[in-house]
Amino acid sequence: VNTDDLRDLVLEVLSGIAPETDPSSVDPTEDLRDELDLDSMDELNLITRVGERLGIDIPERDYRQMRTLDGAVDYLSGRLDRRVG
Amino acid sequence: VNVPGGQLDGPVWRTCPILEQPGAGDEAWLTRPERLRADAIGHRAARTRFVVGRSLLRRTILEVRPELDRSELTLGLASSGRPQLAEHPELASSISHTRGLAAVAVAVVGGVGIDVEPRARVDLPPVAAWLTRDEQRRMLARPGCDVPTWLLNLWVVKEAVIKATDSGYPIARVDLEVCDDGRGGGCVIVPRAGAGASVHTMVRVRLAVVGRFVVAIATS
Repeated sequence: VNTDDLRDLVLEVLSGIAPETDPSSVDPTEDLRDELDLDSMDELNLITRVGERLGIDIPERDYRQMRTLDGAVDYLSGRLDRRVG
Repeated sequence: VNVPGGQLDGPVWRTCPILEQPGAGDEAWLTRPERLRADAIGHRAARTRFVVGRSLLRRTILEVRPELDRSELTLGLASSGRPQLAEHPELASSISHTRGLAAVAVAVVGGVGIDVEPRARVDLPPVAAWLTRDEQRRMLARPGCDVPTWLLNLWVVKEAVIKATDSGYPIARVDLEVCDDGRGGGCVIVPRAGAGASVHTMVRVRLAVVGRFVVAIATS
């Protein structure tokens, strides 16, 4: 799984949570809660669904690292690298 | 239009409907840095919620402490992300907004947290991500009960408690054991084994229904 796959996965899950989302318009450095109007429940749904799809458990202390698209991709990439290593 | 909230042994909480756009009166309550921050929020509805929430919080602070000067209410953010009054850090405050309603709480003593959700909301995350094992057992042991409402109440209680405790370390939702079935009363924070000292903190929680919304107010 490369970073493009991870980006596509996050955007796909996001589009299920916020159907009005246009994936091409998401600023990868912007806080997703502000940009897509997500609240804490949406945020937890996003993280649990992404975790399920990748087969990883994402602890709550790491949620802050997933608040932007770039942050989420970096975090997930690191987690998957450690799993492989 | 403001909907009166209530007063719980000190904390004052208020709610305000969120319409499509904030009123000019709401905008006028914001400081210049807040207006810049609001304008940086890309999503229009999110911007409206920010403006209405900040405006309501300022008005509630002045209701609690009418002697304060409106022009000196500088709202910063504590490390936890919740609003903090720079000139009066002894005043605790909390903001929550959802689609259609903003809610704020202000306390003169101790911490305070507030959370609001539409009562019809059903897209709750998987329970394993935010319920303790005991809470999951209790959920299964309630045949015939209105589980969606029970879960939604539990959700807003936990969110409010997390905001109210603000103890300097992140508290995971799965570490919060709510002992009152989410209908009000006490709440015990139970850190996971190995997560630190065995601190058990009692937090008072109250649930209220405001129209089609449920609101939880927690005080620590």
